[in-house]
Amino acid sequence: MTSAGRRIVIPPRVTIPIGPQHPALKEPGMFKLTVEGEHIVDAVVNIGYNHRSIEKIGENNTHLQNLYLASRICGICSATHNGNYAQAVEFAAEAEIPERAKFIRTLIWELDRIHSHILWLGVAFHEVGFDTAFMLSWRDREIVMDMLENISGNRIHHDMSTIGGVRRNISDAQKEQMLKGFDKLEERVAFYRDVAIHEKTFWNRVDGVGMLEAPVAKKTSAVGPTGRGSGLKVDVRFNDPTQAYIPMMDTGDFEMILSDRGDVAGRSVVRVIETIEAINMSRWLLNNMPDGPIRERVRPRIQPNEVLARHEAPRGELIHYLVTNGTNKPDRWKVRAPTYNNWTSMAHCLRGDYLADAPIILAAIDPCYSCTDRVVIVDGADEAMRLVSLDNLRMESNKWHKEHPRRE
Amino acid sequence: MSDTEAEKITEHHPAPREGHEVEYELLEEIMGDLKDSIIEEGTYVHKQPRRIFVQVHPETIRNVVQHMLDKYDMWQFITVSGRDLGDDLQACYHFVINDKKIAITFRLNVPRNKPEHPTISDLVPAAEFIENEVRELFGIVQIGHPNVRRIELPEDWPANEYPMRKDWEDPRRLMKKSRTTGPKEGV
Repeated sequence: MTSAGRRIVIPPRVTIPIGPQHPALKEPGMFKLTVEGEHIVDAVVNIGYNHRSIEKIGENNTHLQNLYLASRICGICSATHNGNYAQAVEFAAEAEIPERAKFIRTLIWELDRIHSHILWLGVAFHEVGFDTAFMLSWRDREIVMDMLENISGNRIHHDMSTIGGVRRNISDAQKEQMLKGFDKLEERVAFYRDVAIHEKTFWNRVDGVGMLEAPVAKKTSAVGPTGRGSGLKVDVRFNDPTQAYIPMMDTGDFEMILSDRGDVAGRSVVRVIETIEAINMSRWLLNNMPDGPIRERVRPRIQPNEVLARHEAPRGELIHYLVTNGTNKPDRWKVRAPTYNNWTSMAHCLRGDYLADAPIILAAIDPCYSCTDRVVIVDGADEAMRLVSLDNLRMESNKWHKEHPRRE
Repeated sequence: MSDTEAEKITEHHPAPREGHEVEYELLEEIMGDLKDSIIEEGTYVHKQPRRIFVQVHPETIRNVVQHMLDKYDMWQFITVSGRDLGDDLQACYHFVINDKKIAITFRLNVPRNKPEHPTISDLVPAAEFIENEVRELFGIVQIGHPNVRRIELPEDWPANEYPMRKDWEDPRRLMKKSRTTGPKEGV
């Protein structure tokens, strides 16, 4: 064919709606992607499919009721919402809580971060089709889930914080168990860090994908690992420490994890290294935990006050703006979850990339869903139900696998 | 604390000067620069460390934000909280000055019968979603918003129904009316 006969074909612009119910995202959110061939040229983010009017409900509830409502805002970062609301009420009442309670609350926050980051890593592996690492990392996430269940009695909705302290103490036996668990966990997370950085299956899919340059990240106010992956120093634990973060940051042993890459790889590296840092922080908290009471009584009527409580959730900065009015109910309670600020930068991240990379870019700000540990087994023959605890289930499954070796 | 006592206490808790020198220094600098935009009542340094609250005239919010962006590089936007104060509606623009590590809130009151103020979404693109949300839930209109659309509420939600206002009643009677109606006396 001569060059004169060659025609340049401009692919037509097609708008592809992804969502609201999308199998890869597990939460309702709609993304309208305009593509030219394989390239994304424009993206519109639509949210609000899950509006539950929690702020309005909260105005009719007492502060104590709101604590439990707050932890139900999110299944993954329930401890952060719960703890941040508790500290907002304490700031408003100008109540000091015991030192040991501060340490336990911070410990729960850090354990929450560890499990959330490992969960994200697994999802990221899954989104790029590296399912072996997904299953392995989620298996090792069970170590920290068991720790949380051991301390709080629940895997997901810990509800450890209450107004004036925490609800459960940590015994010496639990402390020893956890320290042992951290050694195992650190070894495993270090392995996943090396997998994420050196394994080409993963790295080639995230290297240079979903670029968010520092000036754009500043303009759209990216928070959490999304912002830190673009080199922004936005970590509330360091910038605005509360609870046991104050003595922890005074030691100077801990560093804010930053990456100036700005792509999905940068965000992954920040999250994995942050997990190791969170393990070290938890270890420090356990080893330096003071003795004493775990709860201070706070009167239910809170004086009129306005409080902006900030906390670094696993996904970024979490804000509870609380206005109290002298009764036991809030006058106004505003929650700003970290993902809300990251939506604005999402459209920019998607533009210019391939359509096939859209799932990992969408997942890179960390999707959110809840899971459960106890299962109800229904016998098909007589429809009898029995509730099985985690340990029994694990024993039974191990037994089953022993009796049924891998089929050829 | 009895009820009558509680009503007299204001929700503003200014901090003593010692221990909050950095915040006071910054607030005095801002008040010197933006004399015409700031209302002194309601402008104070909060007892909680690293918190400043500034009350501004609603029509000057753009100048204030532009000045803060230029002078202090206040790029980190947190959110906008709407509030129902009875006769007035309030929008609180929360920002963080990341270099000084101080959270600063600009509050503006707009009258309930004409709740309008200029937008800042073109200066701070991060505010686009939340300004839309405040317009939906409180009915505070941001004039000049670049992309007006529904964010949280369903598409068939009736006009002039603002569910986060204190006097809003659920037509289906599924949700109780907020029992806390606005701030107490003396606020």
